[in-house]
Amino acid sequence: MQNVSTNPNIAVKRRSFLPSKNIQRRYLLFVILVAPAFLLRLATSAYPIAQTILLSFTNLDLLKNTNSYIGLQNYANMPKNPSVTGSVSFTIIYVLASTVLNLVVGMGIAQLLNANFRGRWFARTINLIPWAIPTIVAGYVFRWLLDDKFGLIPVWVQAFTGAHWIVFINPNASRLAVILVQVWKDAPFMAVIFLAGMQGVPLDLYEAARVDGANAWQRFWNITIPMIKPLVITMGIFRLIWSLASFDLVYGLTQGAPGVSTSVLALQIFQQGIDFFKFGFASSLSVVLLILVGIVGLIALRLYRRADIAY
Amino acid sequence: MSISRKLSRRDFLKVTGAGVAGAAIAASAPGIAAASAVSKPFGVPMLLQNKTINVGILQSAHDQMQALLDSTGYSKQSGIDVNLVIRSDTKETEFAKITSAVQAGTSPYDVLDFEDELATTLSRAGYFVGVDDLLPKDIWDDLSPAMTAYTKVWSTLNGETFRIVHNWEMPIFWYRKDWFDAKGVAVPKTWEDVAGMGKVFTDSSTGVWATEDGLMKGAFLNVYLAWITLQAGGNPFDVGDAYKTALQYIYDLMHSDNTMNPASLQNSYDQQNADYFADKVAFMRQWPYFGGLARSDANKAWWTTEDKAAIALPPVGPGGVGGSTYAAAWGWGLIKTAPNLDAAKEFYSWLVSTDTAVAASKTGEWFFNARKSVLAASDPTNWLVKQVQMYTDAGAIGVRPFHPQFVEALTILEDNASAYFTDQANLDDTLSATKDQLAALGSATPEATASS
Repeated sequence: MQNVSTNPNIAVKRRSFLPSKNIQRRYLLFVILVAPAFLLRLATSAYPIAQTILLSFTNLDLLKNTNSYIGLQNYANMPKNPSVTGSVSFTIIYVLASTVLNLVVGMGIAQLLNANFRGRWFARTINLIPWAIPTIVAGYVFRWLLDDKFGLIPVWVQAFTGAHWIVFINPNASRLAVILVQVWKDAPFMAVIFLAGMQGVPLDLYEAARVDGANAWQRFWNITIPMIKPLVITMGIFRLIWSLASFDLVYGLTQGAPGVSTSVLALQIFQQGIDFFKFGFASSLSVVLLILVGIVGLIALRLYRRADIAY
Repeated sequence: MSISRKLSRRDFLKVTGAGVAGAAIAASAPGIAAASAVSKPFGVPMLLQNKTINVGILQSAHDQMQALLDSTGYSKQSGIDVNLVIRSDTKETEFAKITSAVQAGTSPYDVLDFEDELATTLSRAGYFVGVDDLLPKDIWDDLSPAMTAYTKVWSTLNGETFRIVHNWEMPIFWYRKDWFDAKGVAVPKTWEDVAGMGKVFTDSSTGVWATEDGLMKGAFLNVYLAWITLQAGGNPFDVGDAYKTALQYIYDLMHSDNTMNPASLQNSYDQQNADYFADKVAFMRQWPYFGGLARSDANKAWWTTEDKAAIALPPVGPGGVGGSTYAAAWGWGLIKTAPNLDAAKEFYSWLVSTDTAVAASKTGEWFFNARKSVLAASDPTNWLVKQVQMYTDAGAIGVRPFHPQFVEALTILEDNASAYFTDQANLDDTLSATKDQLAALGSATPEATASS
């Protein structure tokens, strides 16, 4: 019997582990087209994150000219620093409170804007004005709006109630002011997103519920909320993450005062790095923030999967 | 071969690859060109080399600086073009801008006008060039003794001068002489007098307070803490008895004596000034710029008499008259990675000379200082000249309390003092926390913390 492999008249199809040349070319084209975006992402995200993590294990300080590996010393020093511990505690309060309030107020505004009334288009337009204002500007403006002598809000309060508010010398009032200003700024954006979701809810569901005798609150709670639940969770995730990294409002409004009662982690990172030139310690705080954001993101993803509704 | 042949996939890949490679080479070309430009090209005349320098100054100083350059004709005489670059008035912005530039081997400015906060931080980061060999020989005779002492503490590192100041500002005691005359009350001269002013002027029905300040966190509260501690006879960064006395005094002014408006803790300087212009404050501490502001067109309607913003010596505390106030200043420095350092050095020598200092002082208050030549050439009837002379003759000017890590140290002071004044912590805990946190910074050099 002739050896099949040596007979030139018999074409032998060799099995190759490599993909065909056609597929190789297509893959190469894919790589070339994706490469610029990938390299950009590598340079602007992956490299800075990796560098920050590496720096967090050093005592890089431009004032003291130190740059040595110190292991986990930066992390061990965090609980000993009252500014850091104060910042972490208010960050948690601020993130949770502002997220919940943003969702609730945003939902309320969306419900109002979803109603059919004259001038609805105008209301929907001006609703976004607070969101359009840069956050740092909002911070500075509210510092004046809450001024005890010239501020619109304390003057009105005094005119109607006689009470003389000096907001920013009271730590609890300052915290409340930061949270409420943040809600004022971002709830309109949440409202627009929820409004879009609400408008996707089929009207016959409401009709059927109305026929069954459900009142407005029952229709809202049993139809609207479940139907836009994935949207609520998504916006909640975004709001949590944005709040964790929030810096400009606190910087403009209170600078973390009185004491460190309204200081947030992002402000501490800014101070340690930019003001004090302690890039090693600032990097370690950044890593902590990164871990917090990562945990929030993972929890949120699990919640999102569970909230998937089949209709 | 057909001219209209379609581009094959292989040709597309070749063309794309060649294009990307070419773009990468083109992008690196400026780096190659820049590298060769560092060394002076052979045969290029000095005249053709870059002689434009960037001078970083505040927006508010721009017109005065331009007037100085125009009046002296500097650019024509020297052949150096001076480009005035507006810098921000917040230290954080400048820290970020200058640090990233210097780390990259360049600088947005060749010559910079900067304040004490930048002086301590950036000098210790090694960003400035020593200027001793650029200074005129007579400069140390020209500076007042207080200016010389200040320069040795705030503008010198390892025995080398890196900054020469061009103004000389101190917290001034401003008061409503018209109100004091109407009530027949003398200007407070001691701490006890100040505490008693609450009974005279504070009126909750009209919202008038005896005194106010801009004690917002972020470079304002520390000014007042330093001022009062100096009057108590010490340095706040030592966290000693003087600082304890100062904290207790301020707390009592706000909460017991009803003299200082507690809302001062949330005030910026703008809010503080606005309250004064709204006739809500009888006296206050404020920088000299307030005098210019009071006399400006913006306050023309309010500024009906000089008695509305009269100047007196600051009250004397337990420390005695020698430390009633301190002077701070802005000054000129050279950044080591300046793109045009040689031309900048030439400009610097001219800038800090006696003749230029006198010419600059004539352009406005930003360049007025206590150099002997400047004082001799100034109008003795000018309000600022009179104020500096008054305070200098009284020996009231001490050296601003110093810490080598000034920005971080003042943040520690402010965080803890702010907590104390708002009843978040008691005095002992405040002092203890402040001491511990300052100790963690590392010790300050003995001469750096001394105030003369």
